Amino acid sequence: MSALVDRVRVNDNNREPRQPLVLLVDTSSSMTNDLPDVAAGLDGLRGALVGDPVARNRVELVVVTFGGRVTTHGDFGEAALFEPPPLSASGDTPMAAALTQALDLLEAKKLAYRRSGLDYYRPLVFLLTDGEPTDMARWPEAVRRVREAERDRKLVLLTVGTSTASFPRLAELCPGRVPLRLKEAQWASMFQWLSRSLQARSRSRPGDEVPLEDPTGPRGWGTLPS
Amino acid sequence: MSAWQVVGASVRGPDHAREGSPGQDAWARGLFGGRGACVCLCDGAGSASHAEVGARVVADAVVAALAEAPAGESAATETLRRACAAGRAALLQRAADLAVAPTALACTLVAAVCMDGWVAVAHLGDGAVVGRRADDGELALLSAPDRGEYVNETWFVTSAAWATHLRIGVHDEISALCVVTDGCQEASLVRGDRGSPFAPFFAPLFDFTAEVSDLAAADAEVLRLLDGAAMRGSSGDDKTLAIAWLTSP
Repeated sequence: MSALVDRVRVNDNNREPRQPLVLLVDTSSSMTNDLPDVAAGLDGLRGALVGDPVARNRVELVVVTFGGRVTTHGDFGEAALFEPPPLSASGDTPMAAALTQALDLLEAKKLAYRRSGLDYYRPLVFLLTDGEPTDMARWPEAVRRVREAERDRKLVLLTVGTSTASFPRLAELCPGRVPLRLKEAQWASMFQWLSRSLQARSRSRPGDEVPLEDPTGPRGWGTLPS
Repeated sequence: MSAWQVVGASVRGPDHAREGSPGQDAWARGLFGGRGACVCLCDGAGSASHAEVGARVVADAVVAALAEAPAGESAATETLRRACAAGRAALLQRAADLAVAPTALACTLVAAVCMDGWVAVAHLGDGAVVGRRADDGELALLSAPDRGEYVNETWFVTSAAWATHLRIGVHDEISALCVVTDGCQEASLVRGDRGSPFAPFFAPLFDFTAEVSDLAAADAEVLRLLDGAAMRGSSGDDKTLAIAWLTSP
């Protein structure tokens, strides 16, 4: 008889588990000078994920912009197929509506994963802003929903502000995790950090902790707001 | 002379080999109730500093407890529960001896006892058990991987709610079973709501048992399978696989 190793067939048809990510990008008018850097960062993120044989098939991301109104750019797609949307700045900062949109998108996506028998990792929401919410009527409800989702381990929300952002407002969203302050013009480093974090998460196995590389170290892109 | 035989092997995964870290799977086999056999596979948690110690201690302690236990089918659930509790107690004792937190030894557990006419499986966390039915030779997923909502979460012997997550099932008319750790799951199961056995993986394994005359040689065959290119390509994780079968019905 032939060796066991030559007789047993390995199933290579299983579909990859998914790591969903929602990128919430502030595109209010004050972001005008930052958006070219954000766009370049998104392009770098795309490049890093596409170049990673695991992450390219596992990370699924969607960009939601909030400037004047909330816009969801396309549907969640594999990193391999991700095209960064064109970004233009205008209007105020409907951050509460954007967060609510992110939560709704993720719930729908998880339902779709379960229906099609796909395994998934805990979703990430990454919020970038230079200001504070202008849709304050909706803010308390958004805070309540985000906190509840974090408490129920439905997602991980990471918030990043430039020096002009309202850190007390961002801190309301996640009591257990402080918002980060982006160091001057460190957009590229921040997006590289996000790529590395996604690459590590998308490889993790049961029992693995996936520590985020500390962005506030001496060579990191962020600081803790004072 | 046991009517059941057990062969198996455990290999360190390519990822752990590359990192220079130890293999964190462990397994043990033993006799059960005179004519039967028992087996226990443990998969140490990747982030636990002494996971390989925890896996070894639990596998050995569970098999030692089962070897001493009563063998009746009606007592099977309680027998397995006690053996798993003995495995957990051994882990906690070793953690205390090493002066580390029990979670530093975190591992999953799959244990099976095999007797004439029935088998019983205790399962905590991921890994899987597939059986072959005595009557028609059909494959059956006797115990599926269990985890939280997310793919990188599971339950461990050290979890506070371990007893809640411990699943025990007794199955009649099973003539052979195959137990695998998480590292073999991708290769051997069809992903889905609960998953199902991938027949081209398990059928040749069960057929192979009919040819076994030398257990050490058979162990070596399983080792070559687990360390082969296809399995290495399927997962970078440690892999352990054991097969138990009834030799004289």
